[in-house]
Amino acid sequence: RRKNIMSSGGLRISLRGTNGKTVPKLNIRLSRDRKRGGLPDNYEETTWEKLKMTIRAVHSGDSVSFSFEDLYKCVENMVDHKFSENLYNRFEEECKIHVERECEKLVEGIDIDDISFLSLVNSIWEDHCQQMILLRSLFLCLDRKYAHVNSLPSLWDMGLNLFREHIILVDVVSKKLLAGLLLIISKDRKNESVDTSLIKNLTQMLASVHLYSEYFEGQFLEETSKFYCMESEQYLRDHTLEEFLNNVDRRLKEEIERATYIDNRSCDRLIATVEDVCLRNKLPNIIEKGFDELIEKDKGNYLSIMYNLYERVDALDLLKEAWQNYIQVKGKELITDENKDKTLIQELLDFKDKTDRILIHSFKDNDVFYMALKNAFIYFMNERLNAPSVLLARYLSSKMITGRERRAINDNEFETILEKVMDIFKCINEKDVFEAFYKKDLAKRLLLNKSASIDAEKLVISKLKTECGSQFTNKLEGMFKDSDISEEIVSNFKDSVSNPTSIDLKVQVLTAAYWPPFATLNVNIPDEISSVLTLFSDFYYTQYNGRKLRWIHALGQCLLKANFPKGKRELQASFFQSMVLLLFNETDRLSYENLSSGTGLDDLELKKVIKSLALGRVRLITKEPKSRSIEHDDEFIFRKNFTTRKMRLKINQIQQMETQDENTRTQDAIFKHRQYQVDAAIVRIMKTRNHLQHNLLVSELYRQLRFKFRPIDIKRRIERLIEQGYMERSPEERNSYNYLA
Amino acid sequence: MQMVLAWKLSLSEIGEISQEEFLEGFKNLNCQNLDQLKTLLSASKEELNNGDNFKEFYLFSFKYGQGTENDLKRVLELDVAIPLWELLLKDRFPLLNEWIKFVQDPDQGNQNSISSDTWAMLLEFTTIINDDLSNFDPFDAWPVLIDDFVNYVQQKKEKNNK
Repeated sequence: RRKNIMSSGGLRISLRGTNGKTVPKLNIRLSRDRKRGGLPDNYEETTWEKLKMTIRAVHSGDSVSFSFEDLYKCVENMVDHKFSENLYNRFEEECKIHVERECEKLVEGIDIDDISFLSLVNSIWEDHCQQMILLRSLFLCLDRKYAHVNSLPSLWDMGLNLFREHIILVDVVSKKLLAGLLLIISKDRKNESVDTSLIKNLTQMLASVHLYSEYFEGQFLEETSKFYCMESEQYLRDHTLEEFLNNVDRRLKEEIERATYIDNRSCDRLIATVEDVCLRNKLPNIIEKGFDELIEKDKGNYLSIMYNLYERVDALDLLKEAWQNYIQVKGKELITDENKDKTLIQELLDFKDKTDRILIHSFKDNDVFYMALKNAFIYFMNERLNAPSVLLARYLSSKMITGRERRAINDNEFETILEKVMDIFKCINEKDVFEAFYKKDLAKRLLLNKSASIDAEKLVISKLKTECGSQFTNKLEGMFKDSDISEEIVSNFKDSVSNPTSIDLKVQVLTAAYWPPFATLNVNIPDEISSVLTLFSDFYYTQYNGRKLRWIHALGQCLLKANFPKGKRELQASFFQSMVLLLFNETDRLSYENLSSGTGLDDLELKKVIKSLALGRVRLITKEPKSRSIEHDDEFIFRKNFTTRKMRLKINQIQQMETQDENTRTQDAIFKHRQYQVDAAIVRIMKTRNHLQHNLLVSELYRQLRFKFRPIDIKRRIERLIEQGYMERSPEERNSYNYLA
Repeated sequence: MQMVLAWKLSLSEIGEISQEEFLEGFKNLNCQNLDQLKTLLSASKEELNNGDNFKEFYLFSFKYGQGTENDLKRVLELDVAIPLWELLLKDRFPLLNEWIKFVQDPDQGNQNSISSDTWAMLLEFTTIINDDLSNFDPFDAWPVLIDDFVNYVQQKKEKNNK
């Protein structure tokens, strides 16, 4: 009796009975034909029916009647028994039918509004995804053991492909879908409330079916471009620059935000599109619209925004040009308005403050912008000759002189002011003009003892030295030295005099080369004074043989001891004032003519002096007839009954505004000095070159000389030098010169 | 004629001739009698047609005009310069009259004398510059006086055209 013990697998073991002497024999035979091994004949069909029902149930949202394990096992069996291919294809067919049906829903609803259509698509998509997930987990075996092994699309991918081909790429659907997406984004941009998660879902859907880039992105960017092009043009036209800048700034931030719910992959291209349309195409227009005004009104925040925007699109160069241009134009305006000379320097300093501030706060202290600022200042500061240097010198001097204005500034403030003044000074080419006028005021300060602080004076000089070299400050330093040396000389003089004179003399000896030019006036010096002065001169000549002293009486000061009937007083007066007063020692009444011949002063000077004595705050003489001006037939009476509470009274000189005379003299000195410089330069150049053409000589001089000159002046100097034998016209070559050793 | 002789003899003072100059001069010129003198003079006149020779003659006239006194000053008084110009540049300088008016004009910088450089450059001016001043370049190395002269003439022309 044989028993078929095994009915599955391919193993048949037959055992013989134990009668006889037979050994149990194991007979193993493998059978290939196992298709139906263990499975009922129509297993495939019945199972498929089961599966098909399940698929349809899932697709229609009905509940599934079979258990998950059961279904899973069915699939596994199908796959194991080689029914995979059929199963796969039938599965695909079912899904296709379903997808097409879903599409019909969309087509039927094609006339609803675009946004609702989007929701519809979204819900279909979501359903699809859920269904596919479920189905895929059921048919997992098929996926793994068949699809994957045979390089066929996974079930999930298959589902996506079907969705793409039979829904999205259906003509009417695709058009409406795209239109809807663009519309909803547009609404979003217009700040209407939209469901951003809807957008996100749909773009993700497109990404999943690999249609994002080719189907959607291009159009999206184009719409973006159109939208912002229109918006920015409108803003540029109808709104202020500030509003425009704010808008661009805001929109850029918004779009970065938006990219998170559209697709982050598009972010860069999206931003680039916005930048192109809002900025790159309009860079000069934006600047033209109101950049200058922003600076004018000191709107640092908006300038910051502008800087940042231009930096983004690599257009800082344009901005820098506009910056430089603004400063040049505005600066030139400031400086060439002659009516504003009184406040020019302060305005310039304020202007520099403002531009520095903007540079640091809005332009991030950018080097290129710094250079632009510097060059702009240098440009316009030299657009007007002479006056800026003079005014700057005067401004600085006004901060050095004792008085109310100076007392109001402490040391730190002074240093700050000085720094700023130096900043402006560096920009001026005509530094020699500055030096001459500063020197003039310094001389007055030193001689009349009106310097607020010697430390401050020294500080100024050291800064000038750092900037221009020691040759520049040579004379200024010399002036200080003279003051020191004079003290020594005077004390030596006093020691040397055997009989102390009745007049206590203090002399300032000035080395003429260092000091500004002073006019010498010939006046009638009272005898007592004259003798003391001679005494001093004699003493001086014993010390310094070969020098010549020239008295500058206009700068003299006297302390007069006056015996008034109402009490003794001391009067501090200028030398000229003293001369007039001393004449009243003889008599109480003097005419103008008396005073004129007595003092030897010229009319202009004399009238000034008399005015200060007769018509100032302190009146020591009375004028007849009473009037505001001094005339030749006036008479003057000494006011014997004069009294004052102060023991020592200072008689104010009528504040001398810079006389035209003084100005002219200073200018002449500058001019002469420049002539020397030109001559020296020409000789120097000719010596090096030996032979040079006229035009080349002129251009070389332009290079070397700091100040501006006219060609005609050069020609005059050349003619002088030819006359003096330093050079000659070249006989060989026209229009050139030879150096004569 | 007198000038030509003076030039040839290298005299130093107008209207005077020293004994030394007389003897040395005529000896160097190989001129011993009146006939030879005549030949010499006409030959010299011919010489003056040559540009270089004329230039030498012209430059000599400056020194000659100075005499021995003003030698160091390197200038020639206008009242000597003007007659010299009239003599020397008569047919060689169409703008001569303008020039003379110009240098005497008190509005034009008030010259009292002429430097040797300007004197020399004037000759160049006559040879190089066209009558209508068309090729004058103010950026060339002309002396300032000549620049001013050109200006003067051009302004006058404009006034006349109006």
